[in-house]
Amino acid sequence: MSLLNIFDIANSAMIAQSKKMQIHASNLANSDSLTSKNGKLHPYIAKKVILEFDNTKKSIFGGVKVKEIIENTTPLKKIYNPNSPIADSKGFSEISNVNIVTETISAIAASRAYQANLEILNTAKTMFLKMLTIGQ
Amino acid sequence: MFNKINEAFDLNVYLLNLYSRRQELLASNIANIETPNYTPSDINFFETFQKLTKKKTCQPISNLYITSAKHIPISDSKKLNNNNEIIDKDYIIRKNKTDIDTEKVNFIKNSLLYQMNIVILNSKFKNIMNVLKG
Repeated sequence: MSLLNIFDIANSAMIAQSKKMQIHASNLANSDSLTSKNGKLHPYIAKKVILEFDNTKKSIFGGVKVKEIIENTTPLKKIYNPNSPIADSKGFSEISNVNIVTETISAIAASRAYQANLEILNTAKTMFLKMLTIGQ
Repeated sequence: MFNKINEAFDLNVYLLNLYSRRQELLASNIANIETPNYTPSDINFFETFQKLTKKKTCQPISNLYITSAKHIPISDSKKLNNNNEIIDKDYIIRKNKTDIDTEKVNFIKNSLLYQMNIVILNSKFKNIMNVLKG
């Protein structure tokens, strides 16, 4: 039933986009955070979501799924901040590579994509209800 | 006579199947709008429809027998089931660029065409009922 598949497709896309929103929100919230690795403090590294075509149904139509969450490879910036707990002997410390502007815009894009899929769900629902009126 | 009634709905069956397939395809395109290396696809509606209506492949009914001379024989012409054929990748064209606006416009357009078809189908039913009731 192809109309019912649309619900699955839109659902998978909504899950993927909300996961993306979640990662962007986490990046924004942690833009000043430090993480501890092997007992040493490091600045927070921005995360990125990679999406992938979901062909679990062996069909050319399919939804979308989160392939992996990778770390952003943008190099860390160094600023002069002698008060930082991770400052080196000259007073320079690395800061997180979270770009506030990029993150905010990506979050808006993800939310728009979510809305687009919600519209699809509504349209599919209307079509389905219309289909049920055949012969009445 | 009943055969005629069956055939009257053949066209709508094709169209509804095609529209719902295309709807699924477009939904898949919109869902994968941010997927890297995804090639969006679409159905070439005009060509597909022509191919499907030309190719009236019929499978004979084997499990029905006439046990009385007064039974009405089963006619050879049957409606074709185009469901499996649309899954066939021949009818699907691959595009190389994803454009969310085009996809969304196509999606809405397709949904309206689907609903229009249902309205036509319903009015056909009404016509037939009018004829039958006299």
